[in-house]
Amino acid sequence: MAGPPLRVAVVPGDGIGVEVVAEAVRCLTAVADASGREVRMTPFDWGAERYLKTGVALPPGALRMLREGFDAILLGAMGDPRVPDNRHAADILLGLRFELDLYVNHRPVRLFHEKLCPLKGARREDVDFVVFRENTEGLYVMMGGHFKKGTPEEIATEIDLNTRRGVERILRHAFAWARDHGRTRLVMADKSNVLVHAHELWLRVFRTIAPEYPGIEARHLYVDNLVFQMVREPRQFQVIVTSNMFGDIVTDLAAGLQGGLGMAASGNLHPGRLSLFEPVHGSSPALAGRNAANPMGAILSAGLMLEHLGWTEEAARIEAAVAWAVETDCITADLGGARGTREVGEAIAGRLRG
Amino acid sequence: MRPGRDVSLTPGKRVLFLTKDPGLVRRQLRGELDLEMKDLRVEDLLDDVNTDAMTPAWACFDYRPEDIARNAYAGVTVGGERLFPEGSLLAGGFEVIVSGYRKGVGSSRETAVQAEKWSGIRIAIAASFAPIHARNNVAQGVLMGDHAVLRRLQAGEAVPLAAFQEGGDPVTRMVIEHGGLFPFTEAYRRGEVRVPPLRTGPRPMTLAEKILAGHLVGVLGPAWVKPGDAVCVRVDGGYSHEFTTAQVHHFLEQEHGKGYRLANPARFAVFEDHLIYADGVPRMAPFAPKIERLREMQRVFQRHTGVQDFSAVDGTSPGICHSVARERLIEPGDFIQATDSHTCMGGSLGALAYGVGATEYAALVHSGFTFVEVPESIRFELVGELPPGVTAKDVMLHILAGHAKRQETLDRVMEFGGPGLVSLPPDERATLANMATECSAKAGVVEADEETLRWIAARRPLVTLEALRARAVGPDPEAEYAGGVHVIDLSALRPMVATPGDPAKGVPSDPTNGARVDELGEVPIDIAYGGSCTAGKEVDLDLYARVMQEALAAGRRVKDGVEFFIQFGSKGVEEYARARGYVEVFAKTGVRVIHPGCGACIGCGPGVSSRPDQVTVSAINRNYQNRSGPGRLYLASPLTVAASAVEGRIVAYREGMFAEGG
Repeated sequence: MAGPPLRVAVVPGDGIGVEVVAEAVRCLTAVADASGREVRMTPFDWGAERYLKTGVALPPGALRMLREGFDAILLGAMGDPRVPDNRHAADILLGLRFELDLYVNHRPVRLFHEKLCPLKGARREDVDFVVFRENTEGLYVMMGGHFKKGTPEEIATEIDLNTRRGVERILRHAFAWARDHGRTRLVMADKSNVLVHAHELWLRVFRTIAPEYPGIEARHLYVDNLVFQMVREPRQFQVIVTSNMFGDIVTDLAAGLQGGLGMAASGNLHPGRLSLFEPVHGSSPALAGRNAANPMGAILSAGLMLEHLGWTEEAARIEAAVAWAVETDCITADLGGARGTREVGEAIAGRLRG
Repeated sequence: MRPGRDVSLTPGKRVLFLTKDPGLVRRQLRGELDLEMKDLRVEDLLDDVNTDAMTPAWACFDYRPEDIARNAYAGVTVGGERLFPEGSLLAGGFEVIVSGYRKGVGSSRETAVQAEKWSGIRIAIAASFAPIHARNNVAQGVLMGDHAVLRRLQAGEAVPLAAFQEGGDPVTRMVIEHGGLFPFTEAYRRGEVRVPPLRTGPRPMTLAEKILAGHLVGVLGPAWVKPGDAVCVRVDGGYSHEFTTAQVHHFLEQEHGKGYRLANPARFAVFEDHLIYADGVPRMAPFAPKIERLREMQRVFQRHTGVQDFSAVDGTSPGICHSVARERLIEPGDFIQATDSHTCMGGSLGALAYGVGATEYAALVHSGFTFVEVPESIRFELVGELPPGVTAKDVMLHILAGHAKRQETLDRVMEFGGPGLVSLPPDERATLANMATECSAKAGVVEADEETLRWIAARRPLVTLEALRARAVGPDPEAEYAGGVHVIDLSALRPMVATPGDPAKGVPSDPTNGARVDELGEVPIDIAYGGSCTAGKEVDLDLYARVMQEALAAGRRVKDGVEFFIQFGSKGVEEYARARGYVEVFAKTGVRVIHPGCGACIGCGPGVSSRPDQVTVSAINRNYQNRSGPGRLYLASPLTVAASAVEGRIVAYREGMFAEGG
């Protein structure tokens, strides 16, 4: 059964985002063609170029248009040295994240070949987990301020904002995902021994709701121990859930385990609502236009999007095709290979066409 | 070179017929005679042209195929003279070489194919080819055809390529179409060829099938394979040694340039073990510079690629590659490839491991994957317990004399399991897997249990039991075994030997010549040897030491006139033996102890015979004629070897045997 077409808003953005998203689009088309289904992709030119020309980052009405007309957003990267403070990027990314209330940052961490892993003796199956990062609260809400700015007595504060509702919904999402995907172990990481208010809330909520998911072994780790354990023996992890800032850090360490930022895919989700998928790497202006960027993060993000929208078989085929490309050394320079962005994308798309 | 759609003979190039009449071969080589298949019968042609005849071991001390080719067929002698003078195959301007049945039997050495190919041969014609030799021909892009094909070629016909490829799996056919393994692998990496998609659905699988199904390239979820499926699989690791590494390096430089890189060097290794004692063997002396060059080439390869280094330190080897790989490298569920026939020993850890030629190894160590036709399996279900004085070696000599002799194990994976396995310590299980190659099997695999995993974990600080448990693979209960399921009642076995046969009467010296020691009659010995990958393990040292301790207690020692050598399989084993005081026992009883290495087992070290009338009893794994010197060699268990060394004749060990008779 073909089902209704998927409606995807494609936002390549800036720098290498344009190149990697082109390959993700190529692969989406290939996998859809091969299964006789349809992905209808609509490009949007939001980004630095348009911002510099028109002064508009996210056009008025964009959010409503996205909500009503699309099933998902596939984004490349935002950031351009010509825009001071990357204002446009903050407007677009944070705008989407907060307006759409994308409270789940979903980061699958899967090692496709042990040659990509810097850990001695690590095997492919040793690195296979998902990190759920709280995406709308914590230290990243930009609350705080300066007092006596510029003076020797200057004081700066940043507020760690944690709501009962916000903490509970990310924890519940992680537990539910683990349950629905056959995972049996979940780790919640915080720093409740020092952050005795904000993270005490995390620990209390965690302990309260864990018994509601009886098939899952729920374990609490302080975040410093978590990162130590991730390096020491990553195979113990299946699902990790943590706060916004810790998740930011932990997911980069995880990217290191899976072959670098070029391999990392992400989803910014609000379950049941419009969600956004993007590779973890930035716009990398120095690499832009050189056919050198690794498109796998973008392609895997497209796969994650399909999985989120229920195209599980197609999503699995995208992952397998990326694994094939890695195994056969069809990889870009960041992974030690000699292929270009387009060659890798074309090879994976070719594999998907069968 | 990629062959065309049709194949025809090149004007001006010649066809060489290896006739049973050496005079005809001589005249063809001199350019005085050209023959046509239509004038000959297959019976006029040489059968069983073996790889030792094509390239004797000394010819393999060269690594460049063009140098090896100068000694093509140097092993064929008439009245002590080479039938093929140096360089004569190349000088003759031949492109086709023709023989009878079973071309390329014997050692797996790929140099046999190289010697022909670099002498200009692009088509080999025979009534049948030995399996490994055929695979080496495919890897090198040498076409194989039968005599009917040759008649068509000589009639001037352009014969379709398909006529050369009958019987091969689809991937093998594609390799042939691309002109060999290197061009095919490159085309595959560029995405220009597609292996036919696997259509095998859910089915119960043997241990080997499960491992291959878990290594399919481009597959992340569950998958199934069946015998005959052509698949592209990831290789978890492998190794080469100083006899083979130089060629691997040379081929990779030729194919990929001086700056070539390996996909995953961390899981591959080089070993210095095969020629470590060659310096002390008189007949190897003329080749010393070439052997030193092989060692140097291996050092260059190791530095260039960063593979793990198990080179000798101050002239002492860390051990035989298969022994050390088992101690340090291989994990359950692994798929391992290395350039030596006893690679199958790694199967004792529940891995699938077997040997390949230098080209195949070069291709896979470069890419990290290889192409495999899923082999059939044969299962041995062990029940009961071995009686005292009977060992795993006796189990294998029993299987060799029965199942292997009947060719039930040929090209199949021998899978060992069953309740009797528990009574065999991990080292004994290694003997089972090790001797699969003597059974002409593809590989030997032993189901891994908790004891196997503990054995591994005890030797590797970074490996946890839990991680090993997650990797261990077992066969499905309903798996199909094309070779059948055979129950071996361990309690019914008795000490065995394999005899040197009677080559003059057409019974070659062979591991399948099984006989019970108690039915052997009086066989006085000159040499006893305990060592090699199959009999230089910790348990083997326990066995030698048990016998010699008893001898010592009874005031006995190695019989006068007999030399008894014990050589450790690895440095770890040597340390184990020293720590337990075995070395003093050996010293007091007249045993000569040798540092680790392959030594006499490949005719390169102390313990080889020097005269045809000498008799050796040895715990190694093969007794092919001339392999360990010109004498007659009986294969036996470590217990039998040690007991025989004391008695001066082949006897089985019995507890208290020396105390009784005095």
